[in-house]
Amino acid sequence: MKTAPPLHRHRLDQLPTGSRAVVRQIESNDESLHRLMAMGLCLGREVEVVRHGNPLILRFLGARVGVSSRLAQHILVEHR
Amino acid sequence: MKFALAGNPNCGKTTLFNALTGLRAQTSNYPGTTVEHRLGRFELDGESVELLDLPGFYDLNASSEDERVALDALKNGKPDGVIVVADAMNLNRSLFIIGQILEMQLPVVVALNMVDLAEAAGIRVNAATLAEELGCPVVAVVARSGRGLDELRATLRQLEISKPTNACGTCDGCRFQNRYAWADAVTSRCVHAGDSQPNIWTERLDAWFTHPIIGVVAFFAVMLAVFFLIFQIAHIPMDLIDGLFSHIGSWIAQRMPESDLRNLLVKGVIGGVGGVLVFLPQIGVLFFCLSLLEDTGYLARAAFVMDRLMRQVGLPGKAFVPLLSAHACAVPAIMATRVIEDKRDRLVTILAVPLISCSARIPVYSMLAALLFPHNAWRASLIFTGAYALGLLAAIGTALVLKRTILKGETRPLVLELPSYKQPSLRTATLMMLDRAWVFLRKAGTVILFISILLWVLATYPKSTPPPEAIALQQRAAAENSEVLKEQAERLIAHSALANSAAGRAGHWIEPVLRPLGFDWQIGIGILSSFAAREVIVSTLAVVYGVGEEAAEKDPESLYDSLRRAERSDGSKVFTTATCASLLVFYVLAMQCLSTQAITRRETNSFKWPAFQLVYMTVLAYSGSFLVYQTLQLLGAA
Repeated sequence: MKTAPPLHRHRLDQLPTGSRAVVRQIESNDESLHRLMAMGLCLGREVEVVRHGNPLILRFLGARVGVSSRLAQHILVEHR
Repeated sequence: MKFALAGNPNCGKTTLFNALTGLRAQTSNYPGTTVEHRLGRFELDGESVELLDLPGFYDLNASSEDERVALDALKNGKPDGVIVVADAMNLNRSLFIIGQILEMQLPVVVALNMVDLAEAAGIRVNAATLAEELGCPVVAVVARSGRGLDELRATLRQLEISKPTNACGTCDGCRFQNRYAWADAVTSRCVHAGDSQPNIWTERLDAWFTHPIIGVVAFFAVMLAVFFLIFQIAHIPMDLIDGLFSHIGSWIAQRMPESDLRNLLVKGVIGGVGGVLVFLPQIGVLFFCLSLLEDTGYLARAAFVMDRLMRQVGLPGKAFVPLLSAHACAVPAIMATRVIEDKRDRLVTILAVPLISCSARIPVYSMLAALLFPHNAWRASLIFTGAYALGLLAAIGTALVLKRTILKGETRPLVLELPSYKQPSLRTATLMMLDRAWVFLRKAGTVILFISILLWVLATYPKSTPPPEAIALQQRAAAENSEVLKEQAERLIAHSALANSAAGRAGHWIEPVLRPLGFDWQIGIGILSSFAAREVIVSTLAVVYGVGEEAAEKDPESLYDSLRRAERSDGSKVFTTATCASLLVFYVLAMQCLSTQAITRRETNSFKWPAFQLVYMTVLAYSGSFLVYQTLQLLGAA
């Protein structure tokens, strides 16, 4: 089901601690992803990986959010 | 007039609610749901107005039960005004729901909270510009200190339906993206952020508290401290309540002539009320601590580090609070399952939690450990460890099975905001403690009281005449003026009264069912009478085996001795190793706690789940005991 992401794009759960990226694509329609999007993690927005792992910690819109890597893998980002 | 209070989680909504309404708030389930909402009152120009605290939400899209409740209360509840709490530190996020609420054409005022923290961080929000942008009044407040609350109340008096804005959300494309584009634009015009630095302390603390190893160690340290408090602090008021009620009981016993009414008052009513109130200290301490931990921001970190471990059993990280608190008492633990968002995950936790060994099982374990290994503290402690391990394993096993059968479904993936650490509010914690205690008294207390009286009736009626040998003993006691003989006669009378009561007869009826577990009819009475509260079996066995309740309480060894001597009609011992082990397994696994059932009924808003809990635990306990007894019999353990 999971295909390799297009060039220059990475799955959010694969980025190392400290990296910043921009959200380019959200692959799934999971309800929990809607929660993340309502919190401000939607297309075109910047996100920082505060702690890599499962669950991982993201920072976006000035707040830290703990997220299962199961969700983060559906978020495709472009490295900055 | 009634107002609704809306906002994101962690925006200080509860603090603002408490600051406006104080002690006069009532918690209840929103009609037809298990979502709690609080209703408070405050004075506005001499008029008493209602304030409804909605659950915190990030989106108004009815995708969770919390959101559905908030949406329904705003749409169909027809409030005269909505106070939307916005976080001045993170206006952008708050604007997302402000935009949604503005579109509902309700009179709105935005309470811009935590402006003091924002200023300290170099963030200045221009309230006047924001009001102009939104088309509704904006009041800067600090809920913790009460700053700006007068102005907020003044604004509420003249609230009008806000002018429609162009808070675009229904246009084509990604609704999140569009609305955030609008929020960005508004923010850029109203917020002047200096060189805002991320909170240094939060970063440093998080490096430890969210670490995969250090974080787990820190978690257990914090929880150990909370448990210590529950056991050490709560037992002081618990002993006081116990003492007070037995005092009132004996006071009445001395002043009233011996009658059924006196016994009903002393044993049924006062005993029952005491049995309800004795839960309050544990509930109070647990929720006080939880409120403090949540307020500081630590609880979110604890849920984060535990998420990975708990997921192995199919439960979310947040389920650790109830699973750990259940070692003190299942009642507050089940009340604490509200932190779990997913309905199924929450239900699985509620169903599994009563299997964990609570403090009420300790007297039963002590008794059986003493019977199994008299005068060997080392082996007796092994019995305790084994019982606790069995309870925990059974709870985990139940959770796994339920997640794969009737409550099938993937655990909801973690999405959890980790708010900045801050100083907790004692006021919020105190109000939380009182609120939980009051919910327990109202919803569970009455049921528990009713059943204690019912059980008293079953153990008292029908009345029987005292046996002739007891009467003869009484006469001898009177003639010889002997206290010892008098007490012996009283024990005989109590024993025969119980044996002939409805409960005693029921003990006989169920004996055939209990025989494969190694229990006789007298243990049957113990099991029936401890249906409401398992620790009661100790005092019932004391009456059944003629030791007397008071003597057993003063000197447990006297009870253990007569239990060791107790014989069946064929002359064999009752409490063999096999029977004791079987009884121990039974008490680890059986429901035997009406308070738990009453609170499960309230928290699940149905009779189905407490009934299921009772049935599955009874089946589990019966099969477990059967297996242990029959195996030990086969192995020849006499």
